Amino acid sequence: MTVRLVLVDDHALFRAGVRAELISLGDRIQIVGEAADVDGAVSALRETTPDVVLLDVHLPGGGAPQVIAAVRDDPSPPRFLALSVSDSAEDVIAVVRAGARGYVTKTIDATELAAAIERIHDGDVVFSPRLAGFVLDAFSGDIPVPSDPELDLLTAREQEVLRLIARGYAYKEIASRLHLSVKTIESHVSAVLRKLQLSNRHQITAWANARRLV
Amino acid sequence: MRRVLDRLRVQRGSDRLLAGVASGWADRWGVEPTVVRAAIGLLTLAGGLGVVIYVGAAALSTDGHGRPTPRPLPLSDRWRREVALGCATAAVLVACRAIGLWPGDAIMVPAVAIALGISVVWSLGGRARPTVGGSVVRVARVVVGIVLLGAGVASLASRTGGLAGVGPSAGAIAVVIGGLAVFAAPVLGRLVRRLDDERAVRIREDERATLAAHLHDSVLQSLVLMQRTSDPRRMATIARRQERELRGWLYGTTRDGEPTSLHAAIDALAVEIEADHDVRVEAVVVGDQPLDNAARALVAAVREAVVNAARHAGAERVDVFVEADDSELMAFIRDTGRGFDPANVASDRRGISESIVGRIQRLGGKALLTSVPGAGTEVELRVPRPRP
Repeated sequence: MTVRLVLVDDHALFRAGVRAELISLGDRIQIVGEAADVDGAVSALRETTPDVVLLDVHLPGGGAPQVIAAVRDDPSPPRFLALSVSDSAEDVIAVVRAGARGYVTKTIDATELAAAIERIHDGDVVFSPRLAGFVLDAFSGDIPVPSDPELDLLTAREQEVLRLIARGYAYKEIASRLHLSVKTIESHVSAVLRKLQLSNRHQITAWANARRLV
Repeated sequence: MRRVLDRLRVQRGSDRLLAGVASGWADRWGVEPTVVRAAIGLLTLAGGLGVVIYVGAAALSTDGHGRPTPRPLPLSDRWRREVALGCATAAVLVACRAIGLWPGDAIMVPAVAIALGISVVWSLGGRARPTVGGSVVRVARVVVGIVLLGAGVASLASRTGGLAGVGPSAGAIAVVIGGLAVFAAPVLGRLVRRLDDERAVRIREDERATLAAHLHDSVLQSLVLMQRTSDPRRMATIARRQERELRGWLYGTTRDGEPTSLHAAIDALAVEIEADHDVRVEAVVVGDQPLDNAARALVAAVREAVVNAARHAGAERVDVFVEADDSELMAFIRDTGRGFDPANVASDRRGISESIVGRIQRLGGKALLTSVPGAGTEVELRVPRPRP
C-alpha cells in the first residue's frame, strides 16, 4: 500500500533530494505535495489530505508546531514525522509535544527514512537515537513532588528502552536483548511519547528553555 | 655544606709544626705562620675554640696535589668530613659559650651528649656492608651511641630533679621510647625513600602510557589517513591540522573555540570524524559535565573507538551514546559492521589496549568490548566521578 506524503522544508534542494531518493525506492511512498513555509504547508495539507507529513522543525513564518496545530481539528488529520538537521532539543521537543509522532535527523539514509515514514503511517512511533537522548534528558533529574507521577516519570523499563535506542539499537534488536516482543517495545515507546506530549512536568519546559541559551 | 667545607680546605704548608694547618693558612693569606699560630693559641683560651678549629681544618687538609693528607688523621674521606662537621659544630657551641649565649652547662652538656649519641647511631643507617670488621665497628658505634645517649638523658633527668614529681617512671619511659625512635628512624626513613622511588617509577610509567596513547590517537592516525589519500590538498589539510593539534598539546596552548563541556566535545568529535572518514556519526549526549581530566580522557577513548569503527567495521553509521551525571560518565560506541574476534587482535596494535582500555582503567573506570563477527561491535566505557 502506498503512503501519500507531503514534504515540508524551506530548502528546495533538500526537498528535491528527498523526492529523488524516495522515488528510487519504488512506489511505496508517493509524494503528493510540497511546501516551504507554514502557510504553504497548511494549504497543501488541506488540499491533498496526505497520510503522512515530513515536517522540517525550522520553518519560516512560524514553526512546525503551528502547522500541526492548524490542522489538528480537521477531519482525518495526517500524521507528522519531524525532521531536522539541528541539534536544538527544545525545538524538537516542541514539535513532538505539538503532536508529531516521531523525529529523525536529516542524516538518515533513504531506506531508513522510508521505513520511518511507513511506521508512522501504521500508527507507530519513531524514536531516533537523538530523540531518545532528548527525552531521557528532559525526564531526568529529580522532582520532589511530581504533579502526576503516572505522566511525569519514566518507568525503569522505558528508560532502558530509550537508552538502547540512543545506543543505536533497532526495535528488533532491543526486543531480543530484553527478551520482549517487538510489539512490547513499540508500546513502551508509545507510552514515552504520550508522556512527553501530556506531561505537565515543568522541568520539560524549564529544561527546554535552558537549552535555548546553550 | 660540602662546598663550604671545600672553601675551608687548606693545603698543608711545608713549614709545619704539627699538621701544617697554620703554615697552610699563612701561605694562603700571605701572613707569617707565627701570626696564625698566635691567633689559634689565643682562640684556644676561649674555651678551647682554637683546638677545635685546628683539628677540623687538619681533617680537611690536603697535600700539594689536592689529595687528603695521610697524617695526622689516617681516615677515609667520609670520616674526614664527619670530623670536620663535628668540629665546626663544636666550634659554634664553644663560641656561643664564650660570648654568653649559653643556657648553662647543666643543660647543654647532656644535650650535646644526646645529640652526639643520636648522630653516631643514625650515621650507621643505610650503609649495610656485611663485613666482619664493619659489623664490629657498627656494634661499637651503637654501644658508644647508646652510652652517650643514656648518659645525656640520665644526667638531664637527674639535674632537672625539680620535676621529679612526675616520677622517675615517666623519665624511664621517655628514655625507652626515645631509644626505640632512634633505632627505628633510619629504617622508617629507608622505607619512606623506597616508597617514594616506587611512586616516582609508577608516575613515569603512567606518563609514558598517556604519551603513547596520545601519539597513537593523533599522529599515527593522521599518518594512516595520509597514506590512504591520493589528493595532495587533503593530505596537506590533514598534516596542517595535526601540526596544530600537536603544537597545542606540546605547549599547552588550546585554540579558541575549544569545547569546554563533555557534550560540546563529543559533538565536535562527531563532526570531525565524519569529515575525516566516510561514515555517519550519530552522537547522542544525555546530561552534561565540565570537561575535566576524566571527561577529556573519556572523549579521547570515545574518539579512538569511533575511529576504529570507521576504519575497520565497514559500517555506514556509528552510534555514540554518552550519559553523564555527577557520579559516572558512560559512553557506548556501536557499529553494525563486520565485527571481529577480540582474541585475534595482534598485541602490537595499541588502539584498543592502550588508547581505550588503558586510558579508562587509569581513571579507575571500566572498558568493555563486545564484538560478534558479522554483527558489529560495541564498546562500553564507564568512568566513575569522585563525589565533590
